[in-house]
Amino acid sequence: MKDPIESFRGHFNDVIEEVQRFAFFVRAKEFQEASIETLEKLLGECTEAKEKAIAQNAEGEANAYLAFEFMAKAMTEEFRFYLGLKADDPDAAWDHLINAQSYAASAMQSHAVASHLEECIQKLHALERVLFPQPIFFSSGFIVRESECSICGAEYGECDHIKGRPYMGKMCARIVKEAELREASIVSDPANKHCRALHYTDKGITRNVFSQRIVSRADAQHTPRGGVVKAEPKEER
Amino acid sequence: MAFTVSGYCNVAARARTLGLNVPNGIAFLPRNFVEAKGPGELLHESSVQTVRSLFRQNAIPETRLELEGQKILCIQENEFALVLPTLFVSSLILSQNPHLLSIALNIIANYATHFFKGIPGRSRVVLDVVVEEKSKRSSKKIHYEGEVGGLKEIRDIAGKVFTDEGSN
Repeated sequence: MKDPIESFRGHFNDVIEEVQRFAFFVRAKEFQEASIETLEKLLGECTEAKEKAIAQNAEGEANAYLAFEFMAKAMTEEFRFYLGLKADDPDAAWDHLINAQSYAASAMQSHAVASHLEECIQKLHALERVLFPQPIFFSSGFIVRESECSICGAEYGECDHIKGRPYMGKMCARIVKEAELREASIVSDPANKHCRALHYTDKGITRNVFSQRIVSRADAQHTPRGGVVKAEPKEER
Repeated sequence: MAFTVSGYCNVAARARTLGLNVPNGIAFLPRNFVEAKGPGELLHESSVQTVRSLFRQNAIPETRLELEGQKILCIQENEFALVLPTLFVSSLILSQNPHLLSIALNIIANYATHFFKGIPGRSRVVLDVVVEEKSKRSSKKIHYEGEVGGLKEIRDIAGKVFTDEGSN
């Protein structure tokens, strides 16, 4: 009997191959939108297979399907990145590109079925360097008063789960429940690339850091991204 | 990759002053162990909880500095580097059970390798290892900052620091 992971991998690769030819900026956006739909369907199949593996208490399989889920999400985010650029929305494009990088790394950390992703990850990082100016990143320092394990809910560090490792189809994270902010600083190499300056003001004029378009003060304060700096997620990788 | 070796305090005496347990094997020292005014000011690197779990799972014995019911808080800084907790290694371990340090460093290196998987060009690790002198009067701190691959060299440097101290 064929290994279920191998059978699924074959199907997964066929779908990826079908959409991968549209993973270039110059491809028409209708094909890229259709690719997202295809990938969302594939993601549903990954989740369904993962749930079955969890029901059978097959941890290795569940983690493999988790890696497939992350790969499908990474590719979906890559297509959203191209569409963001085409919609003349560099902020959204940036967010999707960073998400794609993050999902691809999580896939590699989840299971060996994603061990071939290095080239794809290099491409995503090259796109960041070539298409965007170097952003100003922020980093916060805080004292953690209370944190818990996302897998078992125990105080993080007192259980045997390690953040960034998969357990029965779920990635372990440390959830910070209570923290005290100590400082915020400008850094060149942040843990979270979503945490960056969105606008700057020079001689009384506020501009978007990517597009350089003038942003009204009201828009700058009521940006959907929450102001000048995006809030950092409280769940750590 | 860069290693520096510098003087450090007498860990046992300092622990007593702060009202903490005196480590007699391997322990994690808070980042401000030397300069904190009291135990309430002590702060661990946030990675301490992860490394502590890994040591526990791999049967590496650890002396906890904090007394029963006491808690040393952690500081989380979100620049992208893996800042590991300061590792204290007693003279007893270095003289009688030196392979424990090698195992501990291997566990840390494996964790760091996994941590950076899928993140090209980012693999900076910071680790301090405090080695107790044979005389137990003071210690030396080995500071390492560099790629994951350099971590394994700490074992030899620690051995040399310990041996050199003993021959003085």
